[in-house]
Amino acid sequence: MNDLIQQIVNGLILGAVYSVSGTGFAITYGISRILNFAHGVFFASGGYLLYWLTKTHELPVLPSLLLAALCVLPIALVTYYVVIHPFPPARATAALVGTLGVSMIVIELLHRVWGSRPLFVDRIWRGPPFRFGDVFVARDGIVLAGIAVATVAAVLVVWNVTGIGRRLRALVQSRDAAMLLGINPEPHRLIAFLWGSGLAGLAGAFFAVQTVIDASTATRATFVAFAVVIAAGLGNIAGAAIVGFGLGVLEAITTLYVRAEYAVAAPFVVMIIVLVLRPQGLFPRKV
Amino acid sequence: MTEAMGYGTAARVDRWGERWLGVLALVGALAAALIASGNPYLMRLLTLGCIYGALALGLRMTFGELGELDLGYLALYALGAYSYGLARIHWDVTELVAAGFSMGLVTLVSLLVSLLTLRLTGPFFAVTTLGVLVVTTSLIVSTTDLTGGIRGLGGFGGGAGRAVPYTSSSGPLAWFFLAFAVLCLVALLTYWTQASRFGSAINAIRQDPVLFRSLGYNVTAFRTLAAALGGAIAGLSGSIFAVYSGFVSVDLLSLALLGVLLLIVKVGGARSPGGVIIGAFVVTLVPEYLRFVGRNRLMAFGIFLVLSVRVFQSGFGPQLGNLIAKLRPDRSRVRLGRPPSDQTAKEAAGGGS
Repeated sequence: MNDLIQQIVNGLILGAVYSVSGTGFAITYGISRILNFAHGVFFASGGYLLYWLTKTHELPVLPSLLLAALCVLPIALVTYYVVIHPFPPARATAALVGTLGVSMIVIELLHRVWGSRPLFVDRIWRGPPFRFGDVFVARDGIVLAGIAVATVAAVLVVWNVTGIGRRLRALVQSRDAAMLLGINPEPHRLIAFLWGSGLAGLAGAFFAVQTVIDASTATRATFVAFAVVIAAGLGNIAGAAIVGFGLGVLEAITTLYVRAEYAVAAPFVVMIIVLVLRPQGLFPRKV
Repeated sequence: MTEAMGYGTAARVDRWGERWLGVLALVGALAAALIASGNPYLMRLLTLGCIYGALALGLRMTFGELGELDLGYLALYALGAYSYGLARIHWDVTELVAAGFSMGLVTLVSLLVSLLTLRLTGPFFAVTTLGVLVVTTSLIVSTTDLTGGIRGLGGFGGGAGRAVPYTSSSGPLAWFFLAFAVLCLVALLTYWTQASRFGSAINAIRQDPVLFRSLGYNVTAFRTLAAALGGAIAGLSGSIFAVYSGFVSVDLLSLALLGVLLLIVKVGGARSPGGVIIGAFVVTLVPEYLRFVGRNRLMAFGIFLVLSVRVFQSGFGPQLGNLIAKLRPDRSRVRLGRPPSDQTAKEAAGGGS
């Protein structure tokens, strides 16, 4: 029983990372309707850049989290103009194949620069883990989960309250109707893409602090983001945040009770079941 | 939704020119093999080109005919290769029986999986099939006793150094002929499908599923059958790869191979089987002879993928096919009575790109 509670706690901390990455992907996907294979690459880049900032340039970890996410934005900008911008929503498949190409290029570049061995980043809050009964919680886990929840909350506030959020929601709901109301989709597509990619970078930086970052991170992060958004339902940001936590817990429990090899597949199994039973997603659209 | 995936706006394909393009591609490959028969390295590439060409024609069944992107297609290919190897090891059957078993099994699995996944369309279908790919990889990696896990599976005979099954010849040319025969078979199947009433039906579904349903047909049944046909081709290509390499591993499901396959279909043109066959040879051969590729294979394929979607918007197959169509003897008929729909199609293509 203690093992289970321990894994649920670990899963919630991992889920906080997935939740940030998933909200980012939900924003990108909601606006552009493109399955962005480069999302995981932005995630991994965030992790590697955090390593670069803290180890090579010896900056403190906490501000570097934000800095790493900002450093991802130029990569996202180039990606946007190379494979997203030229394609209207009707040619989403071509854009999908293009982002797959970009992800291959960046994965190879990351591999060239930082090699294939796993990289570790310094802890934020040093000291022994906190103990609640028989359950241990790493200090960094608390810090990261806290920042992640705050990030998701901030994203939800911007999405639901501010003017830009309202315009983006209108575009998710109906691109044509939004255009009739005078919203120009093109700059909003760019803003949404950068916003989502920045969140991916931030999540990747969290992930690097919490575990390790290595060659397989990018692909896995893409898969998890896909699973989160498809399971949550199109354009549902809050739903994506909740499903992100759920998938983190699921992955941790799969590792405990089934096999570690199936942990990667678990989100997809859930996603496929959700799609077959509830094609509209777990949380149907109420933008 | 299929229309939203962007294949309704692809360039118009001239059937006649397209068909001759396919014939020319096959003849060209055969001629290249006969000329290069002294070069084992080039022969290996040409043989792989045949296998990937057949595989890409199978992927085209869903991607080109239905407009749905099956990212899990490699799972069927791997299933074909593994089931061939396992049948040979555990039941000690002949090559032909093993290949037949593997084709049947993959067709059945593809039919069952498609019944589930092809209820979805567009990005939902693409992601679900990607899920199928990931789940299959996990299954193969974790069932070490059966599949050899991450180490791969060998010891079922075959391998390019040995004799081609049922013959005594073991040269690279003999292996090429085997793969080439499979490619020709799959190409015939593809053209036959396109020309048949079934082909017209799935073409109509891609263009307007709602209209098709309103005529009283079952859309899902036709879509599933098309996917199963693609599955049969995957099973065949998988067994041929297994017998040719003598070894199968999870590399058959790698992202890099998926990139190669998508590149073949994108460069050649999803609507044009002849273009896909040419694309298979271009994508297999060209990177090997570009100096900068070397160790940067993944990056090179990434760059080619990006270029392919930017430059060849609907592949070079349709353009080449239309070029060949200009040689058609009774072209005057076409010139005199240009139907109004031709103009509309052109406008749609111009407006969509």
